[in-house]
Amino acid sequence: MIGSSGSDRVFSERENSVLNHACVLVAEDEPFIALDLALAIEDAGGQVLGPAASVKEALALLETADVAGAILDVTLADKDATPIAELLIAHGIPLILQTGVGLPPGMAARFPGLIVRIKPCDSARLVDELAALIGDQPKTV
Amino acid sequence: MKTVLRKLTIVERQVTLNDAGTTFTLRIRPYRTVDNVIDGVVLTFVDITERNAGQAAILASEARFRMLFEYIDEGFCVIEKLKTAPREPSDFRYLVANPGFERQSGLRDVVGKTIREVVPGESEEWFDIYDTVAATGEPIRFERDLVTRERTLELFAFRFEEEGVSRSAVIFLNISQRKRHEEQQDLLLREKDHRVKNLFSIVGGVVSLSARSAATPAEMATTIQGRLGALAGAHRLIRPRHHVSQPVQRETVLDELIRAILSPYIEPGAAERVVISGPATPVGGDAVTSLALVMHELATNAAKYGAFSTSGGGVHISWTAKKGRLALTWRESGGPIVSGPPEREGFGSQLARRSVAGQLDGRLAFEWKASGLIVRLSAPTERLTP
Repeated sequence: MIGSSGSDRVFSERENSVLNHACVLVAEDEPFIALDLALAIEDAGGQVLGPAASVKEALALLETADVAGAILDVTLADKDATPIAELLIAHGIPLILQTGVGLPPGMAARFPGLIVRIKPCDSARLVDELAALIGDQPKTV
Repeated sequence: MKTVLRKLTIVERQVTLNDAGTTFTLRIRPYRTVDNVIDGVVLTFVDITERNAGQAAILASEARFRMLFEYIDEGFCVIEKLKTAPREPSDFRYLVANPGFERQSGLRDVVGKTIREVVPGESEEWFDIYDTVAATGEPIRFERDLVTRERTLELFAFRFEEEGVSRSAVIFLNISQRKRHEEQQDLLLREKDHRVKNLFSIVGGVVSLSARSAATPAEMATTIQGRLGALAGAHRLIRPRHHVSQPVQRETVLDELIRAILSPYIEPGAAERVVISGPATPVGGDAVTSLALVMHELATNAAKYGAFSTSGGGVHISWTAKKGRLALTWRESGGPIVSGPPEREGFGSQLARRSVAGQLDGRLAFEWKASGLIVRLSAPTERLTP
């Protein structure tokens, strides 16, 4: 298969400790973007939960592991990401939404502080942004 | 004349002079002398040619308007405002309605009834509009939903004088169908917009992901071109189809899709290099993109390390669609001996695996046999079409 090249190692060395082994949920149904995000999280020294392609899958994954943050696509394979966002917000877990088409009606009004980025997004930058949010969180035991 | 003399009455006849084309009223009356003696008859001729023509013209014109009234597609009615006490809601009585009225509005036998009697519960705005027309005499063109009949009308209302009373006439068309078409158009445009935006985000993903695995800019360009080519190939195959319930449906069949994606590897004269066999299986929507991507990544991999990397190698793709599941096998043979699974999973196969999991709710399994790679794809058939 396609061999690993020198470029990933450069990524890893540069940002290795940013996420400090934190676990991040990725919900994205577009395979290219999902894989790129997952690799960017690993590059930054994080662990990936997912990528989940659907709300159902993401909610099931959240039952199995604790996450420090999440990057969610707004429009997933089965429906919009509102239920995942609700659950994360209820637990005070930082998240970033990304969308190609905009937020579903009412979502912005319900969660005023929500961080929303318009696709195409640079994965490494999204991860940096999430890492900063996670860093700001009070440490829970 | 004998009748006149016998009965002493007046006789009137219309006579037409054929050669002159004129018509007269001929009146025959007994002639009574000053001594009150009947002494013959008096004939008077009055030329009524023009009067007749005028009457005929009026009749003809009336017939024409009657015809117009009966046969036009538009609904037409004359309404008169009822005398209501101050603060009492206003109402209008239908005086006349043509056959088109029922066709366009869906309301029957309205003449003699009032609007509130015929369509109780309609919006007060109807009355406001007609009140304004009656009060100001300003004609108005407007569009409104006739809620109780679930249709949208386009109307033109104007005031006119008749029998010394001011009345209003309304001409209208049911434009529900046109509205539906407009809405469908709108939906289509929005979907198009959605797809374009989505395409930008996919391209973004393709570029950054391809950058990870490429050692040189040239290799990156080739990888990106190949992936975009597969996406474009998939898109060309899905042709829009119109349905009543769904505005657009895009579909193709599996073997056509596989053939299109693998066409760069099917050289002329080497048809055996790729063998495709399976029942006709419709695929549409996201599944087309996903399957195209899987085929492309597998083919790219075969071209680099597998059956497409040698002149004698080939791929056999076969599938079944039974009990609601698609089971597809990609079997390579005649390529270099496979020594076992690679040390780490390549981006191509990761991408293919994620695509099958995410977009098809299925599984992709790799078996690294010495004689050649075997890939098994399994997915519910319901996920193959939107």
